[in-house]
Amino acid sequence: MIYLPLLVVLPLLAAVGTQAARTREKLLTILWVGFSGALVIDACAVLVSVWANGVAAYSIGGWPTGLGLGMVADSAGSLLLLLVCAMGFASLWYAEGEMKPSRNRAGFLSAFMFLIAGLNGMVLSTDLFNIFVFVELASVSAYILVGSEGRPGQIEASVKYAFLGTLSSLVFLAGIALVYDQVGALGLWSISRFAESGGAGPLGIPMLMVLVGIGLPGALFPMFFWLPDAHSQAPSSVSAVLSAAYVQVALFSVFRVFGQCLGRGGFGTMLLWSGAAAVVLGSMAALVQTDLKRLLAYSTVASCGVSFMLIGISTPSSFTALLFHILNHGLAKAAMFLSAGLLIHQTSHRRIDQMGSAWTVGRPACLMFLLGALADIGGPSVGFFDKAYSFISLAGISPYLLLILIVGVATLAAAYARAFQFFLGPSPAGDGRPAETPRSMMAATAVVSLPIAASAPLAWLLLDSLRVSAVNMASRVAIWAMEVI
Amino acid sequence: MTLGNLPYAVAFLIFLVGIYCALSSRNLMKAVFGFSISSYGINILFTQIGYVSGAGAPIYAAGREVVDPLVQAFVLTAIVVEFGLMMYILSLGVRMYEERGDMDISLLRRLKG
Repeated sequence: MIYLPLLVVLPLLAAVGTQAARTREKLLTILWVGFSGALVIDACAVLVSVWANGVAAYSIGGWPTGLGLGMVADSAGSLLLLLVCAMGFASLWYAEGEMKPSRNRAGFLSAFMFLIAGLNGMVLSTDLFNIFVFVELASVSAYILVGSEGRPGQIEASVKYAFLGTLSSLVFLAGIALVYDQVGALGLWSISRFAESGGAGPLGIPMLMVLVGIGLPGALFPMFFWLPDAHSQAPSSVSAVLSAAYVQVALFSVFRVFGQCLGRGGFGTMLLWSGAAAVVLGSMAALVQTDLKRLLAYSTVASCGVSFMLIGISTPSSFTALLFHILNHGLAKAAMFLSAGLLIHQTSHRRIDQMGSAWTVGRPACLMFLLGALADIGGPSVGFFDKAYSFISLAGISPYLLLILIVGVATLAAAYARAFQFFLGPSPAGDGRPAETPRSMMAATAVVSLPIAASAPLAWLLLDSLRVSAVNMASRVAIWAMEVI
Repeated sequence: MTLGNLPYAVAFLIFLVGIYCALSSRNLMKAVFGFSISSYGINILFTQIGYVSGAGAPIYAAGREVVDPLVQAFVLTAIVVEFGLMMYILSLGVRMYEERGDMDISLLRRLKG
């Protein structure tokens, strides 16, 4: 499957190419449109082939079994790859309008392409060390993108993010060393075999260190403090791709390593309760925020909590819910961040209590924000299936967990309703003429929002295939495919 | 002669010294030094894991015992990754210095809530 390595190679080529063409504006546009368009097509090709065959694998360099590095995409992974590539395209399009003329456009595009390469690599990796390398590639690009406008708030958010990220990456690397000491290999297949043959005990501490490393970008409960700063300070295009793609990919990696590779010997109970804590804390914090993007960032924390709960349960129904949740939250949060950026641009305010003129000056943006908010709390879209399956799988474990999720979702709904109430409210005195909206920002937001509107019938039609891919997730098709690499 | 668990202990100690240095210092520059030191600790840990007593270098060696070549690749990759991270944090430090005249990270409290 030559399509798999292309998903990593193409963005790397694009990252180098944009640096080479840094002074030529037109060529830069052609480069990003061409490469990210090609990525979307490539991801579609992977999706089609995986859904026909169940799984796609590629062995780098064609080494004999057991020696080489590989790339594996199962059906959930291929959906995630398409999400990453599509969100990358939409966010870059949005950034065309958002970017100020004085900014270093080539540097931004280059960092963005490195981020896409890292994210695709994280989804495709078959061993821990490759996951580490791609996590670092994606993280460094994310630190750069968060601080890319150079405002003091962004520099502070970027410093905090980079500081915590470096700490967790060191712990991750030490954990990998200890896993290698115990297992003698780092392939997920070997680790899975080692854990199944009763060796899970000595892997406890090393895998906990690995969890720290992958859990930080996925905002695992005690390590989410960077997220509200980074996601709220970053340019809106970057916030969208960070919360729609990066967080989801990190969650998928946690699922791959702890749900699939370690199986029930993993940290199920721990993930379950730290997820529950994040749901409560994130949704409560979202309710009291005054900054619109900070509100969205805290709701991302809550949503990551839901994903960790679902990974912790690890039953086929919870994996169905996880798949729906990752797709739904990716789409919904991207639409909300992009439309929040539009609203901030149009009202020239960040605080929701000053955004009274939003409904009059930016009706389309308000509607797209509403669409995203509805999807996020389980409205009539793929979000409905996400919440339905989450409720079902949590109810099977404990009524208290179900209660926590219901309270969390209701609180998030209240937070969104509160924001929307301010949008409809009276406009504050002294507002000047509304700023003109670049067309590309509006178009990119619409491109992200439309799939949400269309997703309910689509998800209904695809329900059976999505269930099949959840069964694939539960039966660890991807891990088995790694055996032959 | 075998060293037993001594290399593990040394690696762990260096790792902890680096983490302590990074967490306790208010200057971003010193924090970067701390991160570098603890990454050296991890590199020593990797090297120790692949070490085979009395074995040679992993160049072509028919019938001769060699140390694990994989960990050396890990260490090289890890050095490159850490280098990139440190460079970025230092460049942020330069921005902070230009803006405020110092690199004190404990003053970063503008963002709250």
